[in-house]
Formats: sequence, C-alpha cells, structure tokens
Amino acid sequence: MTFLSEAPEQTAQATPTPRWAVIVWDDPVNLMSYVSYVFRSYFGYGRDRAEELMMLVHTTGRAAVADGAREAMEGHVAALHGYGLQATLEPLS
Amino acid sequence: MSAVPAGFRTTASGYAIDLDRREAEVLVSLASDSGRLITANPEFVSLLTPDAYPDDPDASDEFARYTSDDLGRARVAELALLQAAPLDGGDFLVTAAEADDVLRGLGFLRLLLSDSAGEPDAESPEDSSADESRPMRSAVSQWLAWLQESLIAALDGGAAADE
Repeated sequence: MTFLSEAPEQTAQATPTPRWAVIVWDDPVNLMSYVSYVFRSYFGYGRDRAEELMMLVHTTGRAAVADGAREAMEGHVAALHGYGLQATLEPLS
Repeated sequence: MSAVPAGFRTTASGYAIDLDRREAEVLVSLASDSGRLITANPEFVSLLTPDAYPDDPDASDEFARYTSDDLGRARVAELALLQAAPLDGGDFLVTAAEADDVLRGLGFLRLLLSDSAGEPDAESPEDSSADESRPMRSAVSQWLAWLQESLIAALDGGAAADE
C-alpha cells in the first residue's frame, strides 16, 4: 500500500547511484586458461560466460566483467590485481 | 633421457607434481628471490599493477595506498607456498586450499620475468626480440606457464570428479 505523502521521499531515493564497470585488459603474459579460471573462481561465472569474457579480452583488448557501486567495484579490481590481471575502473554514463 | 612431463595430478588432499631437482631449485630460488625483493621493496608489487583509474592519477594513487600493503603481503604468502617445493626433487604437494594462491604465485613470477624486457605473447611464445637473458627467462616463463596450466587442468578435473 502506498500513501501520497510518501511520494516525495520516493522521488529522492530514486536518484541513481553512479555505477562503475570493472574493465579487464588484455596482456601478453597471463594465459587464456588462467584468465578464464579467474573469472570462474572469483566471480563464480559459469564456464561458458567465463570463456566468453576471456575471448572478449583476448580479441578486442578489453572486457567489462562486472558493474555496480564504486566501492564494490574497487573491491573487485583489488582482487583482480591480486590475481595479476590488468584491471581498472571506468564510470558508466 | 627424456620423458613426457607429467603435470599436476589429483591426490587425496589436493594436488601434486613430481619435480626433478633442477626444476625444484629453479622454482624455489625464483620464489625466494622474489619474496625477498618484495619484502625489501614493497612498492615493487605496485609497479606491476595498472592504475585503477587510468584517467585519474589522484584516485589511482589513493587506491594503491589502500591496497598495496595487502597485495604485498598476499604475494609474499603465495611465494612462500612455492618455496615448499622439495629441493631434492620429488612430489610438490599443493592442498586444495592452497591451489588458488599457488596459481597466483606462478602468475606473479611470470609477470616478474616478463617485466624488464617485455614478454612474448603467452599464446605465441616464438615471437621474441634480442636480449641475452631473454631465452632463459622465456624458457623458465614457459615452464611456469605449463605448471600453471597443468594445475588449472587438475583443478578442473577434480571439480568434474566431484560432480
């Protein structure tokens, strides 16, 4: 049930939170099998999704592998750096 | 004498690979030297890590300040696992819980080996340029890549066997 008096508050809450993407860049060192493994083991992606993203990195030079609130995406980038991947943050417009 | 190298195999507690004395020495000395390098120069790890915000140096610096210590500690721990390879040769045992860190450690050693002169594409290792130490580094890097790929295959095999 919704009351009219709640409407202004709902409008205020509807202000979109800026979203960020985690970008993984191609590099000449990490193995394709390792990159796919990282996507599966860290993000929990299925094999098909992980392979698709890995091939996107390999063939186009980069892939957005996750998006969401900045703090959460920074956590992902830090984790991917831990795996030795070339990961950066990019604002989503 | 030569034999087809056998990669990691699944064991009751995790994974194992039979290394000869020379292979174990290479792995242990690389891991040990790299661990000392990081301990003495913690900022070195960050040099191999891209700017988190390519268009914002200040945000990248702040990100690095918050993450570099944890990254350095993790690297040292990963390299310590690699130093457990038996120097006399024999089975290098990796528990299931250690496998992820071992994969990271192997990858980090490959990043280190590639850093000073660039690395041939991992999928096209014959592409190389002149450098006296390069052939040795390239051979070691390819061997580390084989170790890494072999452990991933064992992990995948183990996962399949559990299903």
